[in-house]
Amino acid sequence: MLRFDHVTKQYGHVLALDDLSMQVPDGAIYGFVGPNGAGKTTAIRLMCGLDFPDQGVVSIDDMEAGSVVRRMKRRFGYVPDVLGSYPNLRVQEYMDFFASCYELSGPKVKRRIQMLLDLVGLEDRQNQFMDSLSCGMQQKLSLARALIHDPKLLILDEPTAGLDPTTREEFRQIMLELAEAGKTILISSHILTDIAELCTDIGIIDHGHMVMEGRLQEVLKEVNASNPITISVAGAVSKAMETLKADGKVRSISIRNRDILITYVGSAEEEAALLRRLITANVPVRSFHREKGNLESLFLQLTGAREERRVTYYEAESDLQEG
Amino acid sequence: MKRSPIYRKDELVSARSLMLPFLITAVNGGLSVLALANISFIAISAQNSGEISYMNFLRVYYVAAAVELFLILLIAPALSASAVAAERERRTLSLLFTTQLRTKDIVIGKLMGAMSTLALLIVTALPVLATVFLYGGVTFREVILLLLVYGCSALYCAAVGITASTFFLTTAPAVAVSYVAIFVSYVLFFLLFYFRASIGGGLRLRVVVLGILGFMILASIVMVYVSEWGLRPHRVRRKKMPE
Repeated sequence: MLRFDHVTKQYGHVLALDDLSMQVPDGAIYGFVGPNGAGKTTAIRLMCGLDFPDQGVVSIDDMEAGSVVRRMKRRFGYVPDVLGSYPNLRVQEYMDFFASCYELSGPKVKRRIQMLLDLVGLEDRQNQFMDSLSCGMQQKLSLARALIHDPKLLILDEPTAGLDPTTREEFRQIMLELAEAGKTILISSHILTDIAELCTDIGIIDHGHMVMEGRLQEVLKEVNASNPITISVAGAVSKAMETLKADGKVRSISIRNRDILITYVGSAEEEAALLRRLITANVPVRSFHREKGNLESLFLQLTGAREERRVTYYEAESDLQEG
Repeated sequence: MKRSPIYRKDELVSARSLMLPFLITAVNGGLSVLALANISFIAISAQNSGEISYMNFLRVYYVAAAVELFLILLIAPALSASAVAAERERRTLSLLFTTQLRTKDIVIGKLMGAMSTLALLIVTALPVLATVFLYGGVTFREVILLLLVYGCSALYCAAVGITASTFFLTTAPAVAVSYVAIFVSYVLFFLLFYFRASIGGGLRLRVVVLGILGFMILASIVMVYVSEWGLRPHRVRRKKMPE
C-alpha cells in the first residue's frame, strides 16, 4: 500500500531521513513510532506529497507520492496533529468545503457527510461553529474530514495526543471499524499503549532510519527472547550463582534488590533445564520468569539508553528586603 | 462555471465577521461626511460672499474620488496580504495541499475573495460619487473610467498582497512589503502621469491612463503565476536511487 524505498531527505545540514525503507501492507493498522526528532514528521510530509525526497521513492499503491496526477490525492486522507480550524465556519460547512476541494458535491456527498459525522459522534453538532468544539471533537471532525473522499490509506499524526481516556477509547473503536472496512491506517504516535492495543504492524524509526519493522506480535516475541530472566531465591545465592555461571548460555548475571537477573540466550526447553539444575543444586527458587516484553521496553531498547537528566536547582534571589 | 471552493469559503467566513460591515460603514461614512462637509463649506461660503463657484462643486467629486482611491490602496493590501499567510498561521494550508486543489486554485480563490470585498466597497461608495450628477460637470464616461481605475487598482493591489503573502510565513511582513511595493508603484505612476508632457513628444492623458491600467492588469496576471510558483509545496527532485 505504502512504500518507502531508500528514501533520504536533508534540510540544510540536518539529515532528517537516512536511507529509510519501510512498507505498510494493505489493510494493516501500522504504528509509526520513534523519539522526538527521529524523522516521523518528515516521513509523513513525504507521504502526503508536501515535500519530495532527495533520494529514493515514496509510493502509494505504486503511484509516486507527490505526483502531479490529481487522482493520487484521492488515495489518502491526512489527519494532522493540529486541526487547523476556520473560526466562522460550521461543522457541516467545513465538511462541505473539503468535499468541494475533492470536487465532490450533490445529495450523495451530503449523505456521506452525514454518515461520517454519525461515525465520529458529531451528528448533533452539525450547525455548531468549529471554534466551539472541544479538542477531542475537533480531532474527530478532522478524521471525518480525512474520510470525505473515501481514501484507501489514512495517515494520522498524533491523533490521540491531548485527549482524555474516554475519547481515546472512542478513537480506537473508530480505527478498528475503519480497519474492518478495509482501510489501511498509519498512526504516528508517542502513546505506546494506544499503538500496542490497536496496531497490527509497527515500524520504529530513529535518527532517520528504520530500526525495526514488522508484525507487532512477532516483534514483541523477538523482544521477549532478549529480556532478562528474573530468579528470586530464598537464600543460597552463591550456590545459585555458581550454577548459573556454569551454564554457557548465561550471558550476564546481575543482582537487582534480592533478585538475580540473567541474560539468557536459549530456547524455552533450555530455560526449563536451567531451572531443574537450580532445583537439583538445592537452590530454594521462589520464582523463575522471563520479563515480558512490551512496546515501551522495546522502544527504549531500540532507540538508545535513557538520557541522563540533569536537574539544576536554582535559588531565586528575592528582591524583597528581609526584615 | 463552478465557484472556487476557496472563494466560497472565504466569502462565507468574511460575511460572518464584523470586519466587513465595519469596513463598509467606515469607508462610506467617511466619504459621506467628507462630501457633506464640502457641500456645507460651499453653502456657507456662498452665503458669506454671495458668489457660488461651480468649481467648488466639482471639487467635492474630485476629493471624494481621490479619497476613495486612497482607501482602496490602504485596504486592499491589508485584506489580501493576510489571505495566504493566515492559512499558514492557522495550519490549514498544508491540509489544502493534500486535497485535489491546485496551487492556482488557492491563489485565484484568495484573489477573488479579496476582490469581492473591494468590489463591494467600490459599489457601495457609488451614491457618494453620484451626487456629482445633481449639478453636472462630469460625464458618465468619466465616471466609468474612474470605476475602471478603481477596479484595476484593486486588482493590482490585491495581487501584490497575495504575492507577498505566498512568500512570507506570517502576515505582518507580507502586509509591510505589500504597502512598500504599492507605494513605490504609485509614486512611479504619479511621476509618469505628472511628467507625461515631457515624455516622447508629449503623451496624451488618455494614453497614459490606459497604459497604466493595462500595466496593472498584466502585472496582476504575472503576479498570479509568481504566487502559484511561490506557493508550491514541492521541491525540485535531485536524484533517484537506482533499483
